[in-house]
Amino acid sequence: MTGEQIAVLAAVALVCAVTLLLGGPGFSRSTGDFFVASRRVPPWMNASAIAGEFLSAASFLGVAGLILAHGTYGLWFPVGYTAGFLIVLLFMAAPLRRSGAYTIPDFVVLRFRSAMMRRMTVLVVVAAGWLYIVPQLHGASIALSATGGAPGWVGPLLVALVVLFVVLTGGMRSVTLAQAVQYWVKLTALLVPTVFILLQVGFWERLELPEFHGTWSAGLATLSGSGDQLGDFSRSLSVLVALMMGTLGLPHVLVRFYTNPDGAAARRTTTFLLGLLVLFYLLPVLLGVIARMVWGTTTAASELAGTGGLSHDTAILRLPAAVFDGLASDLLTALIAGGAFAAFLSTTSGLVVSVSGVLSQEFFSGTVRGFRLGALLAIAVPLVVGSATSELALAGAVAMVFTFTASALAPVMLLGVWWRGLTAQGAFWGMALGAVSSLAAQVLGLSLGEGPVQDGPLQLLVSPALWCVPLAFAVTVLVSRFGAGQPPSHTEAVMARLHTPEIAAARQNL
Amino acid sequence: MSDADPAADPAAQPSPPRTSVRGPQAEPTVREALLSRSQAADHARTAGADSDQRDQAVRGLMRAQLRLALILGVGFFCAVVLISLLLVTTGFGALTLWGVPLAWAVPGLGFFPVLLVLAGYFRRHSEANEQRWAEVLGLSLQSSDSTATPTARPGSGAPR
Repeated sequence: MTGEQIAVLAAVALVCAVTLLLGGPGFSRSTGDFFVASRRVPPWMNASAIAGEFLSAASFLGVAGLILAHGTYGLWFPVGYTAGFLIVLLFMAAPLRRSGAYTIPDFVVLRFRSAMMRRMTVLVVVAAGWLYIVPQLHGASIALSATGGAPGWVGPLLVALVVLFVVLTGGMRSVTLAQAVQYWVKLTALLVPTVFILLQVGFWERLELPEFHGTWSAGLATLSGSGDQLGDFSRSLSVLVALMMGTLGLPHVLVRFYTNPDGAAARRTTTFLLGLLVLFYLLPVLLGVIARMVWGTTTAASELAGTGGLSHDTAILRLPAAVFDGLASDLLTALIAGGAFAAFLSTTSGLVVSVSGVLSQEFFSGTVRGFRLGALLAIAVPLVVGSATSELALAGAVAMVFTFTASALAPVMLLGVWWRGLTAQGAFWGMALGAVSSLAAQVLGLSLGEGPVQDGPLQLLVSPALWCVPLAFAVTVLVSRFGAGQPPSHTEAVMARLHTPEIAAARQNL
Repeated sequence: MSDADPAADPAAQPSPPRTSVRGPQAEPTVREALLSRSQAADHARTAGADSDQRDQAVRGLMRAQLRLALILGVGFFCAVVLISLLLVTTGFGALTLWGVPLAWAVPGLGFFPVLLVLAGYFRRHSEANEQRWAEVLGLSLQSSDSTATPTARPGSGAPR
């Protein structure tokens, strides 16, 4: 076992231990604690918690990997993720908090009072959660086998076990503080290596860098059509649409808005959150560019992909070894691996909690036993799916989930908050068509070609957000407008509830 | 203490059959669905002015917020599309800024400050919209001071 492997395994073990400690039964967390805490959490802490849950494998490893492999295309992912929360801020943050809805199905019931809509929303949310967990487990597999020398199945199993333990013993909600800490862990785990690597790369003569100019040429590794700039453009645009709209439908993020005291605080939280995300995303972008400097030729890049038998997603993990040697390299690699594991654990546990909550409410009559059964299902299905599917680039796989939620959930959520004319029928057809078309297109595109980045018309199937999302919106509006259904009779009351600001209680003689 | 009265002994009573506690099985009524923890919104709906005026005010507020959100959101999206088209189709993308081509610098760094500025602008102006709404109805908002209290009030740290 090399020094690097020992350091990495120690760091991963440390992260798992801290997660168990913070999330397990030993840490006091009664329902009362939770609700009391929810009234007193300042916005920056809430924002840290949302960022801690949101920044996943795709952000931590995937963005730099895509920048290394495909150049400017990878730059659009951080922009899209951040812009997604701008959309949440503009259209959803305050009304969602005021709705009092805890989950997306709760919101749908509040708006439509339809059992059929509820059931379908549950299916969509659970599917999105499952699909989102798969790349997390895949990332854990990559990280442990590339740096720790472990077999591929160890990482996913470790994540599954830790998350299951935390969720089963800790119960419904993880403490805001624990999730907030995760953000700062992830930030540190990238910030420290970035600073060191930047300092080292600064001394040009010490390193054998390929020609610097190569860094800026477009698609390096797999993308053939680097000359096809409009193709690149439409691909990037599709990603942008998917990420901007898809953030609205993330089940584990929505829950966090409820811990704000009121609608105005929800907006404050989201504004802080944007700042935290920008702060974080500077780092993977920088590291991705540095990775292109270091492996800036096609041969070096394909060697990198070849050596581990893995994708470019390991780029960040291998960067310290390429720039430093000896102990410094081992420690920095261990730091990054530990941070990556924090990302897998926090996102997965957030997803498992929200998926199992929804599953148990809907199918296991909301009992504690049902919740545990739901948690088992929530993690077991992605484990099986993940071991069966081939490796997609992490950020690409997550973008596909965003495309799904953007098509299936965003129209219903956005129109549900802002349009009185929406009918349950329109919402049903919009959601059904959005879900089916986006899933079918992506599955078809993936089975016809290889990977999430392709040329020509196949690209429209692999990243279909550009037509799926407008289609779902159009269907929702048209069926509501011209279909047989009427808007629910209580629409006015719900709208008033969503959009009426909280007023000072003291003035009202309660 | 042993109880002499058999009527008070719970063991002697025919106990009701045990039922398992389940989650909600039926759709909630409108009233249930709208029940909030703080009920603040309900108070706002029933306080201050007559119902016509309240409806008008909320509709006006909603329109103002939607207009603001649409201008900023759609504006950002269109700006991003136009700028990146410009970078791709013309020579602008090849211009360099401190050695970095604009095709890299703009999506890599350039949009982030814009996002932050838009977010801050929206927060200020949406709060101003709500303030106007409150003034029309003669109410006072659960003001921004109250959201700042957790940090401003040191004594409130311990939850117990």
